[in-house]
This record gives sequence, C-alpha cells and structure tokens, in this order.
Amino acid sequence: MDRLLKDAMTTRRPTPLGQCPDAEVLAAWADGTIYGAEADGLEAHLADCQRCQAILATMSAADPDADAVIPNVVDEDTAPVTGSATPVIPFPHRPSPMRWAVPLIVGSAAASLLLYMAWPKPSAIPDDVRTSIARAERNKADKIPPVAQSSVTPNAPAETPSIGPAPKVREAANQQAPNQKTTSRAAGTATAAAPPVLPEPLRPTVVAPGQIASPSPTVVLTPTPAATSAAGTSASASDLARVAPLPISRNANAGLVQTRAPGERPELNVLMEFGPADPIANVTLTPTRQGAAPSSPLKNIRWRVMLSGIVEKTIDGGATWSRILIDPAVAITTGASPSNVVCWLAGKAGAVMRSTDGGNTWTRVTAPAATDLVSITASDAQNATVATADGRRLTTTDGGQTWH
Amino acid sequence: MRLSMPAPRLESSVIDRLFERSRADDWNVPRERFEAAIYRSLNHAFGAINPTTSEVREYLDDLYVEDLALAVACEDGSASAWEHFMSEYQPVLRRAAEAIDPTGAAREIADSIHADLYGLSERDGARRSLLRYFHGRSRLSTWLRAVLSQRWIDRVRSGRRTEALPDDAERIPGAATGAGGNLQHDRYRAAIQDALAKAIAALPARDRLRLSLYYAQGLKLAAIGKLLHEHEATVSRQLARTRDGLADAVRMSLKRDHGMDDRAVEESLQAVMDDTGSMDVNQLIGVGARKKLPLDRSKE
Repeated sequence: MDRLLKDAMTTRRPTPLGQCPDAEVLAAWADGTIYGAEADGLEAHLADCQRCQAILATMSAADPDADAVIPNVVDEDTAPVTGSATPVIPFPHRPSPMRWAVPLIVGSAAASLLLYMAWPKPSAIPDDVRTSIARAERNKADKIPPVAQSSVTPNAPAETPSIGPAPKVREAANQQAPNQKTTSRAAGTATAAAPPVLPEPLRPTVVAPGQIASPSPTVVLTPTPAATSAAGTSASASDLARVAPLPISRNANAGLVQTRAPGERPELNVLMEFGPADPIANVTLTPTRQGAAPSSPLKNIRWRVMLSGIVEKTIDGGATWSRILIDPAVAITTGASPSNVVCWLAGKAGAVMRSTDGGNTWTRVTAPAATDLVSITASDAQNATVATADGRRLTTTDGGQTWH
Repeated sequence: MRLSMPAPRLESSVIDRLFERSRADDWNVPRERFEAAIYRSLNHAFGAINPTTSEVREYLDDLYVEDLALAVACEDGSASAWEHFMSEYQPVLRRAAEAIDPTGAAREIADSIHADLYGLSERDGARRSLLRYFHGRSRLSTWLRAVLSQRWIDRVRSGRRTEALPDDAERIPGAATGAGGNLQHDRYRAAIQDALAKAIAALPARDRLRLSLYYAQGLKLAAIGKLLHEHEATVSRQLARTRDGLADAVRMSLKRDHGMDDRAVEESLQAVMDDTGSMDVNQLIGVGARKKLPLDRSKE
C-alpha cells in the first residue's frame, strides 16, 4: 500500500483551491499563528498545491529545529481527560483558558529585559584595561627608534605578514589624540609626517609589483595597530588610526588603515558578512574543525563587505572593525573566507581578489567572466566557485589562475 | 504612507502595551510609526473582512511585535537596527541556504534576498525594502526561511519547465509499457489507481496534506508534526489510519465500480504490488527540488 500511495501522491495533479499564500501567511501557518476558519481554508489549498507543499518542505529542510520536540504538544492519546466532551487541544497559540498566565509571562519578560539592559556589554572595554593598554602603548613608543624615511618603500620585499595586535591597542591610541586628522602619507613626501617605523611584526607589508599575480596593481594594507612612532609625535598614532575620509592611494606605501573608534556609529551599508567559522560547505571540514566549539578563535575572525565596496575585518568577534582598502577600481560585493588566513572577494565585472595571509596582501586573480559576480564559495586557497549574474557557475582549482 | 484603519479602532492603551512589548524604543522607532505598522499588519491579515474585537485581540496577542519593530526600524534605515539584523538574521539566511543546497546555489538567492531586505531598489525616489512585507504574524526567522524557500522552489520549477520532460511511460512507474506488459495487470492497475485517486480526493484536507508531506515531499514524521503542530506519534497514527482507510476505500470501489468479488480484489491488489518493481521516487518527484528521499521510511 505504501508504494501505491507514493505513486499516487507524487503523480496526482489536482487543482488547488484559491491562490498560493504569500510568504508571511506560510510562515505564520508554520509558526502556528493561523487557526480557525483561516487555517482550514489555507490547509484546503495546501493539501492540493504541489508548489506550496514543496515550499513547506524546503522550509522544513532549512529549519534547524525541524525535528525538535514541540513544546506543549502532546500525543492525542495521552492528553488529559478534562471531563468535557471536547478534548483539550494543547496548542501553543490557540486561545487558552489560562489567560492569567499572560501577565505573569509579560512580567518575567520585563524583568529579563531589565536584566539584559543592566548586563555589561561584552564589547565594552573596562576602564582599567583601557588604561593598562594605553600605558603599554606609551611604553612601547618609548622604545621605537627614530623614523627613517627609507624604512618603508614601495619596493621593499614582502615580509611575512601577520595580523596586528588586537584593535584594543588602536582604540587606546585613538583616544590619545582624537582630534588629529590624517595627512597624506605618500612615500617621499618630505613635508608630510614621516611614516612611523613600527616594530616587528607590525610593519606594513608591501608587495612588490613583480609579486602580483595579475597585471593589476594591488594596494597593500595591514590591519596594523596605530602604534606611536617617534617620541613625542603622538599625533602619528592617531594619524594612522583615524583616517577619515580616506585619501585612497594606489601607492603601495600608503598602508592606509582605518579603525572605527568605540562609540563611532557603524556604516549602515553592510552588504554581507562572512567568516571562517561559518557553518557552510565552503569550509574544509577537518577533524579539528568539525564540531568546533562556539568559543573557537575562528569565530572571532569576521569579514564584511559594505555597499560602498569597502571591506572590513574584525579579529575580536566584531568589537572593532578594521577597514581593508583594496584597489578602488574593484567593486566588491561578496566574499568567502574558508580559513583564518584565506579570504576570497568577488564583485562587479568579474573581479576576484584573494588573500592568503589574513588580508595583509591581496592578489587580483584572473577574472572568471566579464559579468558581475553575485556570490563566491571557497574551500581553501586553491578551490573556489563563483556565480555570475547571468546564472553561470565557474570554478577554479588553481587559486584563480584559470576558471572553468 | 496611507494608513488603513480597520474597524474596530484600537485603543491607545492597546498600542501602548504593544509598543512597550516590542522594545521599539531600542531602535528609536516613533510610536506613531509603530502604530502605523500595527494597522498595516491588521489590514494585511483581515483585508476587507470586518474582524470582531476578539479576533483582533487574539491577532494582536499572537503578533511578534519585537520582530515587527525591528523590521520597521530596518525599513526606515536605522543603523543600529540593521546592524542587529545583520548579526542575528544573516546567519539564519546563510544556514538555511546551505541546508537547502550545500552546493551553494541557494546562497545566491540568500544574497539577493539580503540586498532586497536592505532596499537596493527604489521607487519614486524612496528605498523599498523587502521588510515592508513582514507584518509580524510570524517570527522574522521563519518569514526569512519562507521567502528563501519560495524563491528557491520557483527557480527550481522554472528551470524544470525548460528541461525535456520524460516520456509518460518513464514518468509513471507501473504505467502501460507495451512490450511484455500483462493486459490483465494493466487493467487492475488502472482500476486501482482510479479508485485510489478518488479516495484521496475525498479525504479531509489535513489528511491529504499529511499524506503529501510524507509520501510526495519525503518529510520525516517529526518535521510533519512540527508543520502541522501535531505530536510525532499523532502524525504516525493519523498516517496509518488514513492509509488503512484508503485501502478499505479502494477495495470497496473495486467491488462497487468494477464488479470484482473479494478474491478478484485481493488478486488485483497483489498483482499491482508485485508489478511496481523498483520505483525511483526521485524520478517521480523531479530532480533538484529537495534532497534524495530515503527509500524506506515506512518503518519509522
């Protein structure tokens, strides 16, 4: 009989009653806030509409709690006998005779809300920590040798990049001279504030033109902390830290970094956000990654693409964000980060950029297509797949050199 | 924005209570704006119907006002609201897309939904966000999954229409195959299929829906239970009851409409059971819409 039923249910083509409901009605029905005559009418349609059934099934597949036990729903055979002819329907959203519970629940919710508002926010930096960070910064600055103009040149060989210290250091530096504005820091400008020589491994990393995989120049940036430079020039630290608006320069020596100070309102135009801890297929599942605890360090690394095309990165779970500027001619709209050091960015006109050092250096790879790219997934530094606006999917297995 | 005020008009205290519950203040949503959203929600739900006071009260009690306030704030361009939405709901969309299609095809849809939620399109100079279609009747996360699922299914269905359709003989296992087919068995099969189709059509809508979700969509009992708000054991029992009822209805139809006696009825049923062979359910449903079904879930 099962086989007959499978055959019958999959091949029948009945005409459903009425029009398909919109997403909200389907969602409300799934959440149990539609009942009575409206629910009856909706079920009459759903019973014969293959499209709506497929949508419900897809919603179920997409629901992480699809198989969870529904609270307050009991097996009808075990429902308590109330003595009335009509059995009690233990449904969470149906009118319940226990209306007095509502004020109790509201009161509990209000108490929870007050507790939540009073709870210290995780992003706030305690004053004593802030003070000690500032003190450490000042001590570090005292040990930095005088600035040398030639210490940072466009042709300097690439050094092993590293992610700078936690942005808390930058915040402390920001507060030292919040009113300082930046100045252009093109190399060779004698009158401009000399670029600071930052202690290893905080020096901006520069990629020589010869090291770029594609003919397009890349702008190198490092989410370096706004460390102070020469003694007494505390303004340099904030110069690095607070660059607004950014005079975007193609000069690889620019090393432009912008860090948002605490309290500064974030940009509204966040297009998307992604990170290596996302539970997505593009993350290579290694035995150490599977079942990574929520407190895994990978969870603190996040990237986000703004509508303006600016890319930002956080390494402290979103407490602070560093703006990563790339070639301004490249309009980035999407990205994927399969590990803590690998990040792929894609955008308009087939632009794809890749970093294998956590965003310190970027390489523009061969464009997979001349059309806009709407999404990218990647499993590692070599393997990635893009989707074009015209519906094609192209894959690379050689780090972006070729696409098929 | 034109405010459509259904009758009865809400008391100010009701709006105040909902406003307080919604935490709209967190997103700096003005009370008037929130009130307009409530009326828009009522209009959408009741349309031209004039609801009773109790219907309106029940509707408002079930409203997810917190999600509604957040949606209103995002629609109005609140930076803090959008940031909260990003952190809370973008992962929801992402995970849903990956669950629907791990190869990443659904993620494109998720990304486009994200752009629509922000409101990249404009009309008459004003940004239009997809969130204007959310009225708080469900959880925001459920609504997002519904939007994603709708677009995904519509894409799959439109793609299927451009593919070459299989021959009817391949599409329906058990259909007359011609060479090697037994004419008597074909007659039995046609009779049983006809009887079964009529019996299914006569079922209550909820039973048909339960059958479809189980047999056609391949959902598990627990997932069906969550959709229908029934316990898993209830779903199982109802399916069994429906199945037995259909079997009785088919037997009765074969006797009444096809003049078969008891022996002929059992013989015909047995012949069809033996003749179905290996059914590829995925072929019946169509490739791409959902994951492969487990071959035997009747023993759940």
